[in-house]
Amino acid sequence: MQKRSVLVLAFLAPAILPGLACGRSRPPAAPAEQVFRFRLHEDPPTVDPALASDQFSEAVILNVNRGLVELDPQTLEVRPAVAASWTISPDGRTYTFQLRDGAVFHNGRKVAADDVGYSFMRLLKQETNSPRRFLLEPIEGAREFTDGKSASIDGLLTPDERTVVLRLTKPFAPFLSQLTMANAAILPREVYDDPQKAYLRAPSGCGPFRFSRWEQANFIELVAFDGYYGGRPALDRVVIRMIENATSALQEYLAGGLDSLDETPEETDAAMQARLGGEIHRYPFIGTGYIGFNMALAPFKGNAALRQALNYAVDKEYLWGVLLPGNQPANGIIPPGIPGHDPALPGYPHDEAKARSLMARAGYPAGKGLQPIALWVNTGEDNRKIAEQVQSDLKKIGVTIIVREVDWAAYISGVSGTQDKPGQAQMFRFGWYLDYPDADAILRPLLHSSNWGPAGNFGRYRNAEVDALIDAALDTADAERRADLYRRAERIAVMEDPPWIFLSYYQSKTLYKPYVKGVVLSPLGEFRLPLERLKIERGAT
Amino acid sequence: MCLQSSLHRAATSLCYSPPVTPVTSPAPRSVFPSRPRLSLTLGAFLVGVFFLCALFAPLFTDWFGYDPYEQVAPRTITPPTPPGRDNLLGTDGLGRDVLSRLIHGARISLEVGIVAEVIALILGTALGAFAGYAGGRTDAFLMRCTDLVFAFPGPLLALAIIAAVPEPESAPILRHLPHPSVGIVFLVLGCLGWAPIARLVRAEFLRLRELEFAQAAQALGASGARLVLRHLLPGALRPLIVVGTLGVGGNILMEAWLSFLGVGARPPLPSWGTMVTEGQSYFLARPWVCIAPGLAIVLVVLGFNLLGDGISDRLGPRRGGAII
Repeated sequence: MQKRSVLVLAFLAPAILPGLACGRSRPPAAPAEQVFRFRLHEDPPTVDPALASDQFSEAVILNVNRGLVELDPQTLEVRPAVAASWTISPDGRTYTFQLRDGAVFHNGRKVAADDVGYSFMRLLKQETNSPRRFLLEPIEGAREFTDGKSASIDGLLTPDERTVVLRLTKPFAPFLSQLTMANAAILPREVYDDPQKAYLRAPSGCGPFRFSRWEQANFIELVAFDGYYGGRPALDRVVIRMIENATSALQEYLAGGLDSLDETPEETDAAMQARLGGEIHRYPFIGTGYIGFNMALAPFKGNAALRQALNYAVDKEYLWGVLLPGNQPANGIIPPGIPGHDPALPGYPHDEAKARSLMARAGYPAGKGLQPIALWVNTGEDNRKIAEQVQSDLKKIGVTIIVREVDWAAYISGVSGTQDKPGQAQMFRFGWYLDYPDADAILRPLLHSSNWGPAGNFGRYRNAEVDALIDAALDTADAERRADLYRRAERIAVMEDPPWIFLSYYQSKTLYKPYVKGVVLSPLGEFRLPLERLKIERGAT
Repeated sequence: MCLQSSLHRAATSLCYSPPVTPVTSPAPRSVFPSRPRLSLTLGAFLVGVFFLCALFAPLFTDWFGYDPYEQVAPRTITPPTPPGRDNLLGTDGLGRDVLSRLIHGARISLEVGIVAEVIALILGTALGAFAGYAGGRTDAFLMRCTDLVFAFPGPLLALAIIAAVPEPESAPILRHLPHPSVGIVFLVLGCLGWAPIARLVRAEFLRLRELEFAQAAQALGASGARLVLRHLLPGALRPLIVVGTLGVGGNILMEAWLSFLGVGARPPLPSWGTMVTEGQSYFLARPWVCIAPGLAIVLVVLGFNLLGDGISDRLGPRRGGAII
């Protein structure tokens, strides 16, 4: 980027210089190009909607692709996207979607009902190997299709060009919310049937931005799509820059190379806080941070007392109150703002004495007999700090932690493992952002045994009572009773058989330049900012 | 013209071409004509200070009560806390005393620097001696091996090898070391550092082998091993000491670089390189966290370089010193 603009300047110099020489009589400038530049820490692991399961990937996909429905980033309500409208049958089993007339793929072809069928089958197909197959599994016949027992999906019908009917095996309350996720994007068959898999580097869809360029470890460029059904976005281009180091990223933001930044300066840096005060935005964010235990490996396998001991040993109040101020210490799993959040849950306040006695009950008095435990974190200054703080806290009860810092792609594979083989990481720092505002969106992917392994339950947690309560909640229509079932599931998972060290409920902190207009501070996080609503207004200068 | 025996060396020293030309070039001496020993003294002083730090690091903890791993900053203030009476160099991002981490870090740095250099010296001397003494095909083969090592960019190769052993804690040999993540660094640096030493020793051997004293020893029936160990190797010691001293500084710098990139010493070990990485996010607001370890790296490397230079001056033929 930088290089190119320098080059352009060099070419333009002879043309501009005479203009400058004659003083104020400059010709009226052409409207400046609208470019929005934001930062990701690293390259997204994938830009294929079927394979994405992390927010970096979604940050790209949600701007290039669209599904049948989408989530309003502000109100968190489901609203129309490729589908203009939908109806749900009284028994809650049949969903009928009417597609929009104006939805067009980036290659100019109109989006038809067949494309929905193709995209959903692609997500469910065994060969696609999607970690998010479960999103569509409520559809009748989906499992049979995945297992190869049937060539079509019974519950997926396209009676005409503009109508899609989905029939579920049983009523499933969060189904519509699940369809808002990036994985359920509608894809053009002609691009995604490519045996060369060119779409892995150049994805396509019907979203507001076309994917233009990807320079690995440098930037991704998106350009406005003129044929977007919601109207061409005001931004001409979006540049997503990969800058791992927080200090470099902040310097780049200060120098004007970024228009927004997801990491704000240290709270201790008074000068910087004063300088950027107005540009720092803080807002709640529906997510939970934790350190997961790998319950398929020793020493956590079948040892709940050890997991409880570690929970008591970590001083969360210090971690979030002093060391990294901002987040709220977590007492459980379901973050505030989500039906089912339980403020009365005791959780694990810092208590070294209790931790010690639990260590003895776990069979490792003062850590005796316990091998050093590997704690995996993905690279990042805050992550390292969290890891070192946890390491230091656990040392006090005799637990030796070896911190392993790896890049995101290696981290994900080391943590998630494969379907049959658990990941190598014994402990891992993780955060979960709810894809839609429902307790099911955190309890099911992370703790239900049906998502065992790479699907989300990386720690390979299996608790029959928790499973049963999560399942029961899905079949319950009454909101209050549903929330109560989630509270009960959470209480068991937190107090009796903890799968994690519960660290924090997230808060977002994002920097936006004052000239970026139309920013939505979404509880879904800064990467879910609807870029098609943004505008750059640099004012008179 | 340089085939004089050691007996004639003093008289004909002007025509003697020194074995390690780069470090004995006359240029630096003309800058400090009256202070030839300055670099030696300063180098020895700097290295000595860091040696003492490394040696007495545990005592320092015992006497003053500062543990490099203990979070000493008050639990109510977001660290790093500024330098003060309790913490002369302040605390780092986790509230640990920077000075005591620095002092303990000297252990890691010197350990890596010296152990790696010893490994490189042993390997390089053995292979170089063998090549220089045996000559012929053996020599050609071994020298191609050194070419091979030279062909790779050393730092990147080290990075690649260390990255290929993601868990030194469970690797066969390293497991038994006190700090496996540091162990792999000095093993790799040692194993990559032998090539220049082998070349140097070989060149010395080729030269010494032809000198009269060596030929005389051979004529008197000295065995190959005796000739190498008693006659040739002592002759090659002088350049080895200089190269070895300079090498320690190089290794320390390399360890810091690797730790800075996050592949060297693992947290919470107080490696200087790691400390610089951890400090860089506070560089503008709390500079001491980053500058203190950075300065330590600069000083210790400078110390070893000055020491190496100084020794080479002292041992240079024109100074008249000799250690043979």
